[in-house]
This record gives sequence, structure tokens and C-alpha cells, in this order.
Amino acid sequence: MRLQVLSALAAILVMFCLPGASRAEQADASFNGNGR
Amino acid sequence: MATLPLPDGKVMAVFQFPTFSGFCAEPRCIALARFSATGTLEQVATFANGLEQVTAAAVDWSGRVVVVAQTTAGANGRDVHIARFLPATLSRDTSFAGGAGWTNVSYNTRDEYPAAVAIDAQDRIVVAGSFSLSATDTDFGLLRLRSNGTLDTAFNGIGLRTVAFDLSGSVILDQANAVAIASDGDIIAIGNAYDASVSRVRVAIARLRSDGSYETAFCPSGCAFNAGYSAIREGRTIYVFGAATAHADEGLAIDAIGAGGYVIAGATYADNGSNRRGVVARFSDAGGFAAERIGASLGDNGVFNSVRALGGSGTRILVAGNSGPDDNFLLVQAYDTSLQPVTNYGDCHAQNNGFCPIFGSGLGDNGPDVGRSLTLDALGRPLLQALGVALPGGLPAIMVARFTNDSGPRPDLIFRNGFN
Repeated sequence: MRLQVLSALAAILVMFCLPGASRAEQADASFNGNGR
Repeated sequence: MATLPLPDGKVMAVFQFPTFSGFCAEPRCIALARFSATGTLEQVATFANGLEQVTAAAVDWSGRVVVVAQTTAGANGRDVHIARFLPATLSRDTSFAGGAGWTNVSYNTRDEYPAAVAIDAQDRIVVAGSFSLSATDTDFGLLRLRSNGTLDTAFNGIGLRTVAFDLSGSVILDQANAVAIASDGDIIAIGNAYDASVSRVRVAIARLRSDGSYETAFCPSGCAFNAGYSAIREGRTIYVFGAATAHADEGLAIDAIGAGGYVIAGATYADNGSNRRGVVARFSDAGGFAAERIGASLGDNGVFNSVRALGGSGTRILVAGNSGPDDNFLLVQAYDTSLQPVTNYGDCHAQNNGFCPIFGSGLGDNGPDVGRSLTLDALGRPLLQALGVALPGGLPAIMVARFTNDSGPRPDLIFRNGFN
């Protein structure tokens, strides 16, 4: 049960807190450090 | 207004500067800001010329920056202002327009409104917008300058022409919003045409040969999805996004595909007449329909202001605009050849795949943005400019951004030009 909760929590963290983690393209950090 | 790739890898932001003590003593000024290839601000300059709006910019094949604006009202109404600058020094290009570096062009004694600019293979400057003929009649207005800044008489004899759609009645308001140079050298312009009989704005597209005449091979017998305007053909067409219902559309952007064909983008109310969606569509050079995709939106108020094709055959199509619910939510989205959304493009939150507002936290940035300035550098990296407010109560600021292009193709050479 605890594992399921942790798993779900991890999924939520990935979904909400790590945007871009699995993205094909993102802000270009080689431009001013953050793309803008 | 525009973030342009320079041939040496640097980046030029062109924007409209408001009246501001010490920088711009007129209604509006042209502002240039040059950044290094790594995004360091190097130099800023402003230029005053009696301007009311600064509307478009492009880089020519010699790396010079062409800026188009509308003048304040004078003896001949509001005119078209075209200026060229040298990016290395942010100075006027004295090889343009007899040494001045700028010129004003007027079609008649009424107003001309320039909306877009494209550079052809000979560094000639094509400007598109609208020319006023009367209080209730405007047409697509096009002009072409030679590289030296003089009106090009090889274009319609005088360097200017109008294209009328005049759909019905006496209120016949046609305006071009974007222009591109097709792979065969034709000039393709997109905009809006008002039909008073149904009180709707339609998407209007014109295709001219390099000499300014109608490209009669374009929609020779009337193109598909023209809402019954079958007489608008042989160089012109009307196109309806979505189902052929009584809804309004906006034609806001166009880009040519190197191997032939073109893509358009804008907005449509096809859903139910009140919900606005961003939309992109793809056609052959003859105007034949290939694909269309209506995007989702937040708050039923999406719009695609800019479109670019990558790869020689347009295997990736990028759009920029606003996702909705208002202009604060910037959107960049990628589509494949058949206009299917590229999954996992951008860095928006996972639960919003398909929307890609990319700045700031959450679903968007924190300023009143417009997304009409999408360009591509030589590596196919999208460059964007948006208007934003850095902090509540702060001064308006421009935002210059670059994204990666690790998974997409490189742009075809022709896509260096033709920025709206």
C-alpha cells in the first residue's frame, strides 16, 4: 500500500514538478542560460 | 515584434518603442536590440521617423535588417515606411534609398497599412497589408522595392498593386496580414475579407507571380472549401477553416514549403460561432487542400499568429500564438507533415500535452503576450518575441526566447526570409 502511494506521489511529482523532463524540445539553455 | 536570426549566429530583436523620455520623442519608434549567439545583450538603438506603428521586420540575404512601419497621418494619409539597418553597428544602411536608409511609399491620398514583409531571392522587399480606397473599401495592398530601396517597376509596372476580394455589398474590407515568397518565386499573401451579406470575416489568399500578375495556376477552377465563392479563383481564393458553417475565421500567417506548397495559420470560430481556436492548414502550390488541424484552447480563446515550416518538405510545422484564455498565455506547438501534433513537444506540463505555453511557471508567462514573431535560425531553433510585464506594476518589456531543435529537421534556406 505504501509503495502504491509512493508510486502515485512520484508520478504526480513528475507530472507537476518536472516539466520538460521527457520532452523532445525545451527552452534553449545555451541562450542566456535559460532560453530567454 | 520580431526576433530575427543573423547570419553570424547572433540574434536581432526588432520592436516598437513607445514615447519615452530620452529614447523616443515621437508616437512610436523603431527599436533594435542585438544579442550574442549565447543571448548576451550587446547593443540597443532607437530610431524616430514620424511613425505610428512598427509592424514587421525581416533579414535579407545580405544580413541586413529590414523594418516596416506605418507613418503618422500626413498630406497623403498614413504611408508605408521601409527602413534598412546594418546589424553590426545598429545604424541606418546608407546604401538604401539614396543614402537615407529609409523611404516612405504612398499608394493614394488615403491610408496604407503595412502588416508584413518578405524578402525574395534577389533581396527585393515585398510588403503586404491593406490600402484604403474609401471609408468602406480596403483591398490587399502589396508593394515591392528593389534592393536599393526604390519602387520596383518590374512589379505591376509601378511597384504597387491592390488585390480586391470584394465579397458582397458596399462594405468590402480586405486586408493582408502575412506574406511569403513561394519556392517558385510567387508571392503568396493571406488575410481577411469581410462578407457583409453574412456579416462574417473570411480567410482570403492571393498568389501573384513575381511580375505582380495573378498566378492563374492557383485555384484555376476554384479551390475546395471556398464557401461557394467560386468566382474567387485564378490567383485568389477564399478558404473556410473547419465545417462550412456560418462562422468567422482569421487568416493571420503563411509560410512556404521548400519542396512546394504552403501552410497557413490563424483562428476559427468553426466550433459554435463563439469559441475561438487556433488552426493550421496545408496546401499545394496550386491551392489544393492537403490537411488541416484545429487546436484545442484554454477558455475557448486560442489563436495561432505565426507559422513556420521546417525541412525541405515541411516535415515539421511550428505555430506560435496564444492558447487562451487570454493573450497572457503564449503557445508554441509542433505538427508533423500531416498536421498531427508532435507529442511531447515543448516543456509545458504533462497534463497539458498539446498546449505548450512555455514561459514562466504554470501554464503561461505573466505578461500580455503576442506570439506572432516565430522565426527559425539556421539550426532550426525557434526564436520568439513576446510582450510581457516582468512584475505586477512594472514597465512593459519584450521577451526574447530561443528553444532547442534536437528532434526536428533543419529549415530549408527559403525560411530564413519572409517573416510576418
